[in-house]
Amino acid sequence: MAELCFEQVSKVYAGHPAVVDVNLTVPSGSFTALIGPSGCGKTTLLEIAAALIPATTGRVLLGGKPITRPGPETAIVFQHHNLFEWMTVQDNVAFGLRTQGISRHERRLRAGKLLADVGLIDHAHKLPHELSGGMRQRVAIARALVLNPQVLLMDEPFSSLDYQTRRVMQRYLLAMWHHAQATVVMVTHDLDEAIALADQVVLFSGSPGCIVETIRIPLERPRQPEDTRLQEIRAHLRHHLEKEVALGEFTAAELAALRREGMTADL
Amino acid sequence: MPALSFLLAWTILAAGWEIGAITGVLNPDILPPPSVVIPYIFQGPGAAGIGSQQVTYAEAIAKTLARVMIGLSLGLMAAVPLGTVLAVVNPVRQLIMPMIQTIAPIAPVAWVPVAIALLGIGDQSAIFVVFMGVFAVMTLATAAAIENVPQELIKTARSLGARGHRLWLWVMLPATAPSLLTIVRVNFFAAWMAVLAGEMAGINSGLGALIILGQQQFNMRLVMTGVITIGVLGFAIDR
Repeated sequence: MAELCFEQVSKVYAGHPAVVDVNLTVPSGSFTALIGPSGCGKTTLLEIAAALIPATTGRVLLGGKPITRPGPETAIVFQHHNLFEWMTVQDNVAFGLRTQGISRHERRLRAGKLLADVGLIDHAHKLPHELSGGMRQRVAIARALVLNPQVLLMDEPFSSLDYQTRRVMQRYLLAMWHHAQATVVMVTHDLDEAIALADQVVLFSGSPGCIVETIRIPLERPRQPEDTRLQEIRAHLRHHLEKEVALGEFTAAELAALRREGMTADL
Repeated sequence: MPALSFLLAWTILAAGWEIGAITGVLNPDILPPPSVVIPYIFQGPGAAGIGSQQVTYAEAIAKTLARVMIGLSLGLMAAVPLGTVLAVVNPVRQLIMPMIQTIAPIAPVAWVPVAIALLGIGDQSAIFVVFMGVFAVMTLATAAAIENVPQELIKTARSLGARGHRLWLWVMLPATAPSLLTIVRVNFFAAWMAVLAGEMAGINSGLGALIILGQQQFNMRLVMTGVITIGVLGFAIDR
């Protein structure tokens, strides 16, 4: 386990700034949720932390050391499961071990054990297309955890699942997180997901993306959605998000018109 | 079940043709009916043509098939590496892509005079025509197949530690394999058309030449034999 630290990270795509001057410390072993309007560069930040794309300026430190190339310390899970369709579930999970040159025998052993831990051992020899959407995403998470990463980066991992499955997957993720002891950073659009899971919620503002607020939620998990303290935080987050979306969606003139009509009194 | 439906379809086709010939709707001298052509095929059509231009039925089939297979294989062997480079190395792409895009729409038969002038009449020319007919299209399709591998899939593989030749061998190749198979299948037809056109347009051997010889000698049974053979072989190989 180690602290993840973004130091003045900026990213410019072809002259267009995607994120500007992000400073963020994710304490070791904690769960952080990133929330903000679409296109505010949250995914970009995750990909920089995974060393999949370089930052234009600034750097990301893991346990005090800069992250420069993809390594076993960090793992990433996307909205789409991105499973290798031609490999069995077990071979998918073992892929990270294979790239590390671990013997076939040990790969099978470790992937099998992990699959047993996450309750997917009965599906070990199936192909991804034979699984349900939730199961595929569980396999994707297991595959990311196979190298015992210190940091697990998740980009809206459950947003393509239906509501019920998403709730089940969130509880499942909490269990996995306890087990894996990793530092988690999750991008989400789902406020309930963020307040149910995160130690801190980081609010982003629209393009170019920058951090506007960091909210700590020092409550035990599992949390009850009815908890009044959570409800307050939720209302605050919702207000921020709707304001950001309105600013991205409407021009200044339209917003003024809406305000005159009393449609945006709370913005 | 599909086999049965094909059998039925062929029977209906043959029956219609036969009835057409009997009733005189189809001139049996120009379109000899199956009752004439099929026994003719089984008896083994005699050699047609004179001297060096002589073509036997079995030889014609063997020659044409070999040309298709060799031309297609060479095309694939050239297209996959070149398509890969085009997809990955942008400067090469900028330079080479317009050339390939210009070659792609040229009908293979247009290469026949070039082939004969360069390589003479024979297998080399036929293979050259097949190659030119499929190579450019296959190169473009390979480049497209590689570009269509989702970026996130590649990122996922990289974050799991795959890079260099392992990324290509373990992820890119299997991810593009279904598209590559489709490319080969589609281009088999292109190659099949190319070789026949080439054989008709001056490369005087193979199934295409057999048909032209039938035409020149007004041996319509031979022409129909060639036509049926082309259809049946193309159908069978595509299975």
